[in-house]
Amino acid sequence: MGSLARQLRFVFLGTVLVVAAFSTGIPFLFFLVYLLGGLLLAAWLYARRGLQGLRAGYHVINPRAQVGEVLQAVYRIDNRTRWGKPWVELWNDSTLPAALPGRVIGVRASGSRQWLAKVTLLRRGSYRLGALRVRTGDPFGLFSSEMVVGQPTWVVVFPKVHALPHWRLPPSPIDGNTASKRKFDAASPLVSSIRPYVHGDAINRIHWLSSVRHQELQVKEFDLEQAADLLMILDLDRSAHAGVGDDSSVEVAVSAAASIAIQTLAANRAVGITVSARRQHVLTPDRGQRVEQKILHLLANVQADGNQRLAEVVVAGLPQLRRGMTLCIVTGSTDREWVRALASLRRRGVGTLVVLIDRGSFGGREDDEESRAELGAVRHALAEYDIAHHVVQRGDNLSEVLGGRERVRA
Amino acid sequence: MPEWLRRLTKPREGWLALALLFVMLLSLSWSVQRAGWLEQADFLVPVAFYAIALGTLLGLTAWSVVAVLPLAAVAGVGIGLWAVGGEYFPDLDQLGRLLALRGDAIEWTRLVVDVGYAPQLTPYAIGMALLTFATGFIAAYTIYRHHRVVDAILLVAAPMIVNQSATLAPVFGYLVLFMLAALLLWLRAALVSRQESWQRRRVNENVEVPAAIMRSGVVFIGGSIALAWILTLVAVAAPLTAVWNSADTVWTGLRNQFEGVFGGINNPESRISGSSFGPSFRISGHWFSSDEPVLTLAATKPYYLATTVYDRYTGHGFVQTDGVERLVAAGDAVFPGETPERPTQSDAFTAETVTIEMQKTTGRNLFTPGYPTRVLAPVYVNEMAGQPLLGGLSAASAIPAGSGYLITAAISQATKAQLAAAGTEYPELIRRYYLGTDGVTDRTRQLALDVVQEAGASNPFEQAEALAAFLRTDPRFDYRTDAPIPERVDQDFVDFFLFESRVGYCQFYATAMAVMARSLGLPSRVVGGFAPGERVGPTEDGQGSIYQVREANAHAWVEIYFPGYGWQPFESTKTKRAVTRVTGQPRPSTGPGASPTTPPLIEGVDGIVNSLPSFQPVPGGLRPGETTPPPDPRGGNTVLIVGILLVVLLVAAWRWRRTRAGLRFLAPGERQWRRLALAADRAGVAQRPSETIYEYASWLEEQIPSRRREIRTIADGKVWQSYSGRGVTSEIIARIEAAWQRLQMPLVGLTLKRWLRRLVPGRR
Repeated sequence: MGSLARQLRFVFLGTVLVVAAFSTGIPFLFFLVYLLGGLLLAAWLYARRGLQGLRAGYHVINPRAQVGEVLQAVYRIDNRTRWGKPWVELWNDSTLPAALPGRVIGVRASGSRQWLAKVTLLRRGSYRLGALRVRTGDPFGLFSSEMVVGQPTWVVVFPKVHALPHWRLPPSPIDGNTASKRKFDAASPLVSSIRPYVHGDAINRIHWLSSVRHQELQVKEFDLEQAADLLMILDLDRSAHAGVGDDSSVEVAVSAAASIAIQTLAANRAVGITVSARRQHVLTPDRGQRVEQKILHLLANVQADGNQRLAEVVVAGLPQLRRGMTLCIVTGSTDREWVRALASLRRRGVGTLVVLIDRGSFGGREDDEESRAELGAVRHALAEYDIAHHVVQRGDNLSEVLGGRERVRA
Repeated sequence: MPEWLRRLTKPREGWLALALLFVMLLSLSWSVQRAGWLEQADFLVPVAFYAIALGTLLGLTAWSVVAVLPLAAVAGVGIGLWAVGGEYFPDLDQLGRLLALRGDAIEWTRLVVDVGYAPQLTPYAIGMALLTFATGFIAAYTIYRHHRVVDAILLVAAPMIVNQSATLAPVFGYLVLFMLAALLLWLRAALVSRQESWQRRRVNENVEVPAAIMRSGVVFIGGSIALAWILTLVAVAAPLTAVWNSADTVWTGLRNQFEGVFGGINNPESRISGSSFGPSFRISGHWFSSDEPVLTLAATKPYYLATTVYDRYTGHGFVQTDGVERLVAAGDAVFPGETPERPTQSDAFTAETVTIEMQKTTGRNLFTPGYPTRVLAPVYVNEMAGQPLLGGLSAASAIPAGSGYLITAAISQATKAQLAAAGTEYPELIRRYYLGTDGVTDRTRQLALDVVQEAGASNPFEQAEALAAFLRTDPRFDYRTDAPIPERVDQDFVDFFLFESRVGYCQFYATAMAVMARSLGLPSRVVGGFAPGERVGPTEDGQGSIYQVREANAHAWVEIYFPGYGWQPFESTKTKRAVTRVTGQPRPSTGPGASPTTPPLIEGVDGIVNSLPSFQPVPGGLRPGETTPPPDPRGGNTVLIVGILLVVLLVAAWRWRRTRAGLRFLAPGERQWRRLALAADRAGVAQRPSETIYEYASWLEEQIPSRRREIRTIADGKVWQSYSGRGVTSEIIARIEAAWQRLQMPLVGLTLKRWLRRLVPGRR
């Protein structure tokens, strides 16, 4: 029965009782009238005065945290009256998937209570934590009083960042220390080894001293440096992802992107990112804590709601890539056009790495031959262009998949 | 643990709810038992127990209602028959009990259909058992299956209230026990709902909270019950009774209609029947009375006190012809126009004003000795068939115990000779309504003739005297309050009484005499009221006496019409004394209508006035010598309400003064801002701790857009006063004050608007 119907029923019964009592003068009817009237009045007064003299507040200890971490907030309530409050309910309305737990608590006269509320953050995003609401009422649940304390606040839940201890960016064909656009074949002065000359090796790579020592022509091999900058493209085209909720390919993609970005930033490299969601977000490469927060904030709030094909995003992003940079693409797309778009990068001295999300494994189609064939075709194309890539499937541990060198296909 | 087992062992409402529900049913059963509707009603408690147990068990199972209801119906009937049979026929085996119950039911049905007033009580007992079972079962089932505790409480409360309303027995204690259990059950259910709501919304409760809520609830309940009890002792009144006069008529009609079905239940403590006198009576064969005082009469003699007149014989009793009610103001003549019932032989009547004080509520009935001329209280005169014939007097509202009224009546002093010489020139209206003999058997007529011939009666008075004496003194007749009535519906009651049973109580005798008198051509009627009471002492002035009238004095008697002398009472009931009249000398009769102008002795004079020291007039009633009613003396509630209002006003005044005192010494800008904040807080738009003055002012401006400038002025004043470090000029003070003056009414309007929104759900 709804609240209105319940109230109307009580109003109707009360009216009947009052009319009957004053029409008949029968004492027991007056007893009922006085009893219920007194009860209602007392309940109303109790509820009305219940919040008087109460002061309450809360603050969130870690308003920015990662998925899997625990959000903590400290609540406090002071009773400044001479009457105890048998029960006071405090809670926040929030958009968090699992809200901060409220509490019902009794406060003694002139007493205070303080407690720590915790909740594990389950899903990335920006969440509104409403103002603190304090409520009490009469014991019969007839009336209640509520007050709103403070202002709403925001909690940003960053995507889960996995430790990638063995992660290394793929080497760029050239060193990235200079911004020179000059085209040259051997950019690094660091020779790591020599090998016997084969036909086609450039004359200027011959190491003459070693050739003399070995009595045959030896050519130098260069140990190329890692690229200086990393530019990531996170493909959030809705057709490139599958699955829903926490167990979707987009969550894995976002987490992978975040992990790579954090790991790279930790190595004091500049990181930029392009996210092709409904709107395209571009963060130019930069170093430091500030860009880390910006990237995480961006990744906390993006969804797979884009409609731009990855090939277009890659082509549009090509002008940003300069020699010595590394492009990292995180995508679930099995469209091979974007692979072809990457073909020219190697020649331009841009390292390339692809984190390929096996979206078929997220859509409940693991055994789907077509899906596996599409993925295989993409991987084949990547191998054809000698592009390193990682394949991430549902349930994979990103630390192992992205950090384990043995999984890298080149 | 499987779900079904968990549900059975740990029900949502807990076992405390079951115990409380049982206490409620127990108090209901005790209350019904104490009311005395049935002499044997011990079966109610076990029936209630089994009903609750079965309702709980089936409520906790997941069975469909399609299976549960037939099962419960079968179980209810079985338990009811078993319990009633065991109590009413303890000496029989189970089969014998069933057969006995069946026999009673068949006989009861036959009697109710044919004549009414069946004496078998087991059908009522079975009905009561089934009702108890249904109430207990549905209440328990509603709680444990549908979790609707309030509905269950209301379900059990309904028969409790009906029983309390219908009985005069002291059952108040059971109601207190019932309410205690019901409120505790409600409290417990509210706590369970609240805990579920917290669980649903992930609000953790501290361990001490449920106990704290229960504790405060128990204090609430205890305090409320104590307060209600005290208030009930000091403040009870019935100011709305007059509103329900028409409904009272409907209720009386309904009661009369079902009297035949429930007539077998004779409860002296029933508020429904009691000593109220309805517009008809059907002789049931049982008569209950008690020594409980009903009223006190202050008069010179112990008069018959009439309240209802019955004019039409039905073959099973007398009824009053439907009429109209006419309101007569206090002190006005009962019949201002012509009526054939008015005595015209003024020398044979004296006017006397008597006082009647009720000691027990008997409804609206007013009682009068002789022929009433004036009532010093508002009165409804029932005019039979719309004619100027008195059908009865009733007050505008039920007369509470302790209230009374003065009534002036023409008391007949007519001698036997005068009545014997009155003649037989009956007015047309009297002949039309009081001579009907439909259904009277020949042998009744013959008996009446034989009686008067044997007595040598030659005139109506002597004939009436002979008939009364015959019934009163003939040794073949006997007085019994438990008497047989005709079993055949077509058998005439008077014939049955006169020739077959010859035992009965006042209604038997009065009916028989009225019918016999009519068969002789004497206009007669049966009157309901009280026979003369017992003298308990003199009045204060010594002119009269005080008579105590009890339930046992409730009576029916016969009145015969005599031209010029009106209706004269005759006593025909065995064990009662005859109406005494002096012999006197015959005087020439002037006949009806001989005195067309109203004799002053009858309608203009109070005559001897007898009053009581503790006399408290009914609402609108007059005291002796008064011409206008005093102010409403209904003190109880008025004093209480005025007291409560006074306390509320005092508290409000004290708070207002305290608030003003707190604001008086504040700086000007600060003071108006505090006033504004206080008024806005009362309206429910208080300032939040985090809001700045201007933020709050903006919020208020949204609430009262028409006073944006004033709110801004006051906010500016506050900011200036608080933060500028300089004082506020008198000009600014005046402006702020003016702004506050203009804001007051809109703030009151805002408060009312927001309260209204709270009261009307959905309006936000």
